[in-house]
Amino acid sequence: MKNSQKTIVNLKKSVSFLHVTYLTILLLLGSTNLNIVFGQTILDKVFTVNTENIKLKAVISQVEKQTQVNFTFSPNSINAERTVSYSANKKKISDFLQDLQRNYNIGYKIVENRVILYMIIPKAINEKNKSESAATLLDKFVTGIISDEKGVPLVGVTILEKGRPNGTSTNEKGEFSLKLTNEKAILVISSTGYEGIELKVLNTTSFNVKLLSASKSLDEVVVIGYGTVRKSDLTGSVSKVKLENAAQQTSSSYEQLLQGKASGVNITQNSGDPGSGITFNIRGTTSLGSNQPLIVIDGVPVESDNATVFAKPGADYFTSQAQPGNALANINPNDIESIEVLKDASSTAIYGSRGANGVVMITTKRGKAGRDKVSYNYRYDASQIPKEIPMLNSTQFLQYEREAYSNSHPGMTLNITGDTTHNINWQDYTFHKSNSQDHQVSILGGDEKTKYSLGANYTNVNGVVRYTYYNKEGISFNLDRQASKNFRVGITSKLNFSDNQAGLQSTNHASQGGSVVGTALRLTPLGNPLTADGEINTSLQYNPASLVKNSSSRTKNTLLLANVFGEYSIIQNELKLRVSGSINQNNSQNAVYWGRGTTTGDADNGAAFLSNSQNLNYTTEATFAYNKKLKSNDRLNAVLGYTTQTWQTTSFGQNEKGFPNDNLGAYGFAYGTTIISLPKSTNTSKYLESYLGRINYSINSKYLLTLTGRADGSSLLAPGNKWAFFPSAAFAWNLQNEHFLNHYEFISQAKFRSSYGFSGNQNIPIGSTGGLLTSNRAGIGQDSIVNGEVLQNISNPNLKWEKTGQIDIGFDLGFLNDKYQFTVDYYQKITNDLLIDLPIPTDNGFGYYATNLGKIQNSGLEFEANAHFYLAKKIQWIVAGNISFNKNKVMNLGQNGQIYGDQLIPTGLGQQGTIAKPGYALGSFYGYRIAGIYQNSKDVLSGPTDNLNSQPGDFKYTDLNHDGQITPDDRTILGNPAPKYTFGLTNTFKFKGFELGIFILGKQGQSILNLNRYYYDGLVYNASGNLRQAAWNGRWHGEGTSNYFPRAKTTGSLFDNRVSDHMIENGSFIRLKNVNLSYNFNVAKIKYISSLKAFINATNLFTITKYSGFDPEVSGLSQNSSTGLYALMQGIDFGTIPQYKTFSAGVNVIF
Amino acid sequence: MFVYLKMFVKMNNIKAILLSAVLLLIIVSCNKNLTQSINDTQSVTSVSTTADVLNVLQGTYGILQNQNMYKEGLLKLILLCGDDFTSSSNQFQIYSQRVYNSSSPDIQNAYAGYYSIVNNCNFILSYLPNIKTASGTDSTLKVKEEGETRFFRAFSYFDLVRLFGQIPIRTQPTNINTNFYTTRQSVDSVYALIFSDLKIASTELNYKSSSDGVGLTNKGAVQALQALAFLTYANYLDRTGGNGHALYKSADSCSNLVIKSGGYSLVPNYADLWNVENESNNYGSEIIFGIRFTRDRSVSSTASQGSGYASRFMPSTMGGVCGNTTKNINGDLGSGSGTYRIEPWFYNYYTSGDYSIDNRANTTFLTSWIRKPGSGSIYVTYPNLPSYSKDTVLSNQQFPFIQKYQDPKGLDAADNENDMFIFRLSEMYLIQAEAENEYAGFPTSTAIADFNKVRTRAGNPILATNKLTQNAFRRKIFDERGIEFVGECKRWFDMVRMKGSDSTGLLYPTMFQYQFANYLSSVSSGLPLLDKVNQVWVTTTPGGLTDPYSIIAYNSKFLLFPIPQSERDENPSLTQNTGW
Repeated sequence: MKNSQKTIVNLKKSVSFLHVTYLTILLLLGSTNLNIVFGQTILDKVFTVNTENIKLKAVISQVEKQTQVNFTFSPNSINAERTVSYSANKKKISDFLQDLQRNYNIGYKIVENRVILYMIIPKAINEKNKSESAATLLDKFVTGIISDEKGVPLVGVTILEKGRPNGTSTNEKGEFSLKLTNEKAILVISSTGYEGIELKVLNTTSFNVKLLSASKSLDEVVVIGYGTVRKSDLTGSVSKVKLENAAQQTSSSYEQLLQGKASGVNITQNSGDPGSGITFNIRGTTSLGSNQPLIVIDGVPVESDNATVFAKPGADYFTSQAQPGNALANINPNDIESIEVLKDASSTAIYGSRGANGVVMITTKRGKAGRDKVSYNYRYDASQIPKEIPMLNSTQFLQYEREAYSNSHPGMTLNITGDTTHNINWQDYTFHKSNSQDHQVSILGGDEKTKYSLGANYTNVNGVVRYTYYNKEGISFNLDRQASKNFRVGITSKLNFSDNQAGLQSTNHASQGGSVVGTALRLTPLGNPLTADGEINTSLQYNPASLVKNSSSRTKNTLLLANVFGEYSIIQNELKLRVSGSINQNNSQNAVYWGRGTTTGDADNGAAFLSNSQNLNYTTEATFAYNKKLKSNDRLNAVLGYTTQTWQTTSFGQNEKGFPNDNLGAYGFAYGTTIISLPKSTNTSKYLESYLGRINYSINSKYLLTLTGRADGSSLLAPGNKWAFFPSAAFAWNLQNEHFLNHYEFISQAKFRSSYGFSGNQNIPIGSTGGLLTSNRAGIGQDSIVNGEVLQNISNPNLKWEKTGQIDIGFDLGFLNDKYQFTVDYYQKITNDLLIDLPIPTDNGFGYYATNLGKIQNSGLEFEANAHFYLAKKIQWIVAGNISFNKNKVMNLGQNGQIYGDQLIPTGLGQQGTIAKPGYALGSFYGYRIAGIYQNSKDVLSGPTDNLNSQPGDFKYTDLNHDGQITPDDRTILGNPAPKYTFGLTNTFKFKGFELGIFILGKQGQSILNLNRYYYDGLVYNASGNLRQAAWNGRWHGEGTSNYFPRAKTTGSLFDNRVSDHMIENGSFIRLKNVNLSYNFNVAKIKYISSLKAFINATNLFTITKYSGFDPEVSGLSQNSSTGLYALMQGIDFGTIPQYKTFSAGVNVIF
Repeated sequence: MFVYLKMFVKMNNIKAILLSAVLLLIIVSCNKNLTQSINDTQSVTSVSTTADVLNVLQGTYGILQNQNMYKEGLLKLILLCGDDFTSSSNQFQIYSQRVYNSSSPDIQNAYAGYYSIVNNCNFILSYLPNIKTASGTDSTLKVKEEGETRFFRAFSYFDLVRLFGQIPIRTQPTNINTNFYTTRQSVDSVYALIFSDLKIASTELNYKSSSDGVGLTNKGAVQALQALAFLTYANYLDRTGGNGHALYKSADSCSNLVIKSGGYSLVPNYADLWNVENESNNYGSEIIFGIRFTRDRSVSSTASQGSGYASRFMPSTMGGVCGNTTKNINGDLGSGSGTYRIEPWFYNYYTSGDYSIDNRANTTFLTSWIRKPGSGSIYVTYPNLPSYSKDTVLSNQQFPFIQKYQDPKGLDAADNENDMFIFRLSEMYLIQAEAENEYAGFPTSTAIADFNKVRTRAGNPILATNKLTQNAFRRKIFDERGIEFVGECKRWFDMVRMKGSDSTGLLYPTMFQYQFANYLSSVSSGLPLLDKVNQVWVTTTPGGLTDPYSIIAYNSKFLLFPIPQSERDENPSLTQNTGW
């Protein structure tokens, strides 16, 4: 006993040491993850009963109903018919079971999710039995001491002789003795909170047993493709994020809430405009096109390609200045229970051809047996832009004009006396403080056989860009019904509507008057936004006040997601067949209108574009799931399935102009005079057909093996290459279950994981394999315009799958009953045969063709950690963090060796600023280096020759290849848009009813191409517009005045129409993304209310960054690529609406 | 695995297994054949009749009318890079100021546009032999289609070789097995292809008949192109040390065939050529081939089949000259944008000396105008003075404009009726004159007669050119072309093609070199300044007669455009033209 006390003391020391070490690690990493779920064990489930004089079995059945836990017992062993009185208020099952044991000598055992009740035979009776029915009892006793992992004796542990009504329990010293009825008896030892064990008696008569505590998290269930797996049996790399308090936070989509919460996941909101698209990468970019992961909602792969639901047939660039919306912005974050991110090949291979970019499994809330629970959440947001960019005032602007003129016309001065009375900061006319509200109502409930959930939500977001808004409404209904003993059916359904009046943002085309941000920054401060009457001055060209009011881009979207399934148990608890069908319909209408007072609207007397698109995608699926516990604690778990998915897209779009007035906007087509371009319609379909299978084999919970395979056939690919097989294998080793770790009791989890496998990508446009024609009209003859067609593409009958092979090695550690958890993963992904629209020399008659080419590598390290501390007595501190390092490298790009991104501002800059080049990261910035500014004419003469005819005060380009002249060969890699590492750190403090959550998000090491600077830092008076204060203050105006910004001038091109490192900035940032403080009122005395919570919340409170633009979180152009090389258009800021800074307050009531 | 199967069976669940198997079969049997369905786009395989081919041929011709080509983009290169025009408009001035480079998008777009035509022509030429014809007329059509296709291919290569020099040659439609990364071929081999295509085309096509649609290709167009191509290639050979002598004879005979074909005649009054309402009639007389633009009621602006010349060439203060629907600063509709402006020296050149009574100057240059039809307010440019008229003069500008292109009935700024004439009969006379002069070594009587035909039409007396040397006569032709075709995309080509000479006949390698290295640098740099006190335009320092930004030091690199950088980025084996 003395010894063991000593051990405990030592252990305490080591624990506190561990505390400190662990804390240090966490702080160093700046990381952790609050939302890793701690599964609620059966025993923690709560119920309330208040009965008098009813049968015990009725009490049990009430508990069953409320807690949804099955109780099993034999009427022979337990007298459940006896009449009892029992009352319990919010008691746990464990308390109930203790009451049963204390009052009725009823013991229990937990098997899977059931509680098995049995009669405890008291020692006295045992003794009595011994004398009265000696014939049934052997003369054999077993004795022993049962203790926990640390050797502390356990009281009240049940010891049963297997299969016999014979048992006992331990005394206060943990001792027991039992007389056996069978020579080959097996002892079943069980106790609440510990893992039960079975022992063969054989010749042993004395046992010294240590029970392992049942780890909570290890029993947690993780959703993987086509099934679930206990976390302890998981072999792959999966991050689980539980969306707690989603409704308390401002978010326009679920991705925003996922940002920074899971390792390996890099999410960038493309723009602050609510409902705008999101760039979502898992473990780096593997593809030159879209790298969006596959999104699976409740088992249904849904359409998440933003471009698909943003179909704007017949739109020219001017009518599509709004960002593509987010296909899944309509999914209500509050409907989501948890999100699992599948990262390694072992987890993604089950999604075969679509798994290469990772898979995001979204599980929505479902009904639970028990009392119907109504909850209501209200939130009010007040938002604003994070900062303004200081621009020149009107006096400075006139000074700029004079200086520019004099510099370009030596010896001449410009006599201008501009009207400086207005001195407008146009940002004030574009942005305002806005407010929003969010309502969420849900009802969840059910009984043993039927469970349901109903939800409704309404969100009204008013944009910080004036006149913009984003409204969404949705309802959801989920139902599960146990139709018979073996047959279960259910439906999951959501119907969401959104109405998005978006702010106009630049695509890679810069049309002044086409982007609210660009126009606000570019217009000179001299104009008058308002007329003498106080009306908006529409005669001022590009008037931002007019632009925000008189132009609109409105997208109305309807999203229907419905899934019906039936599940039949062919062999109870072992073999199940599940058949399901799902519909995912996404319809949108896009209405763009340019009214009078905008450049286009004035030219055209109102110009309208209206398009409708219907995207239907349906899935049928049949899977067999086999689950068998084999002898010697081995488990076999297998899935075999067949699934098909069909996508059908139709759309129609038309343009018109010449409206009598602007009253009807884009809906007044009956009144227009002229069609701008011919209406366009589309109608295409694609199919995917797949066979899938997976085997999980677990040996003694120690060695876990997973084999997965999927064969996919796609209509997108060429005959002969349509089918491909994506296999993977994984092995994991639960070291904590090994004997050699038994002595290190503080280790509650130690798992080594490894996997290797393949997944794919089929993301190419429909029709890439065949040759197509496209319409091109011609004017021939007397006033006649004829139809004509020209070749559209090169047919590629060899197109095949893009394949990604990935190796993953991971380690999961848990200490002190998983109070501290730590996960590390290393991976290397190699993508081969990239499916790309490869740019080719245009002498081929085409600018590109669809092909498979090249090789890209992503490798990285990911850490996730979380810990739970008690500060003082009642303050809980939960810290969760993650940090992910990814290195992206293009390995090979075939014969030509490099691929350029789109031209930036084709009407101005006209250069590509990004490249995919072997040895460098995908989408690296590419251009000239500037060594400084030419200070004097001697300096110019000694510089390399350049056709710019440079003067002192102009940029001095670096002659990188030392050939004495500046040519395109002097371009080089200037930066990488992908962060070196990203991290998220969540700290949660709980004290009595208070809860404080602080979430910090960081991305480090990425560059941004700040294209706004092309205009507002260019210092070419005639070509730009207003200047940024910093550029004016820092300009060159004489030898030695500046070596960074050039001189002001009136001729020439902005930045010499060259992409240079001048526009590349450090995009690293650390952002206090969210702070949430809530208080849970004590409602014990309030009837009908079971919970009442009030909260305040702040989003994007501050950002630490060196970036000079509005917001370092940009990816504005990534979904606007005209060539589809989306991955090459990241990290470019061009008239992007910044993320809002938002303060919120609200309440949450549960009835 | 077998062990488990045995267990499975042992459980007496054979029924279950059967059920599973049947279900699996049912599910698997709804197997799709995985063909994609595209219901909104025609497949290449749908081209099977001569009517289908005609469709592709029309689409191919349509490429020449696209925004990046003759509708606008190409003009930035071939109009503004001459010495006669300048521009201060964004996106245009980089060409007039010659600060464009290999990354300038218009160059890339034009290059790609021509090769798109080439590829479509290659497709038609490879496809045509498989097209079965139903009747005699059908097979006639098939032959005609081949002729037109060859014309367009030759036309594209001719523009390409003149703009870029050595270029890749594509004669087969691009498919997946094509070598996408080819090299630039010699100028000689490009011309060889042009001549072989045109030779075949001239046998396949007939001179225009009344049933032909206006603007369609015919034998006249083919021979006109042959004439200019022979002349240009001969110039090239002469300039690069080859012998082009015999080719001048071919240019001579080709132009002569067009002249003698009887299908064409000079429009008696030069001004009538530019009456947009008379445009189609002119195709019946003087126009041999043109890029046809039509007021497009179903599509507007840049995507329309109309042109934007009326807007680009005309001043922004003159209403009612095109379809512009945006009001100008006076609140008038239909004004131009004043993008292309005439250099003052050019105006002076063609309003003095031999051209002092030339009526083409009156017809062509615009130096004063009323604000809009019916309005008394007047604008003037150099050389007019604000006191030009008793009416109110609203402002004065330093550049004259070109008024050849006007369409008051236009639908918007980029949707007007005005065509770009590629070949007019007057050019055939001038080609013949030039070819004779080059071949004979002196201005022959035919050459002089041809020359004077064009010159007298413009109201000038017959020039005693028989006293001129070969060089002086060549210079006369250059000058004649300069005024005859101003604004018709000929000047830059002439400047880089023709041997240069000053007015006395002293030789220079090209007119481009002479103009920029010698002549224009001697003209006072800077724009005319209005001395308001004395009411005179000051055209010497501090004033001048040239846009100072557009007259740059001569550099031989400007004789060719750079191979677009994006092409070289994709295909490093493409070399760059010297100096770029």
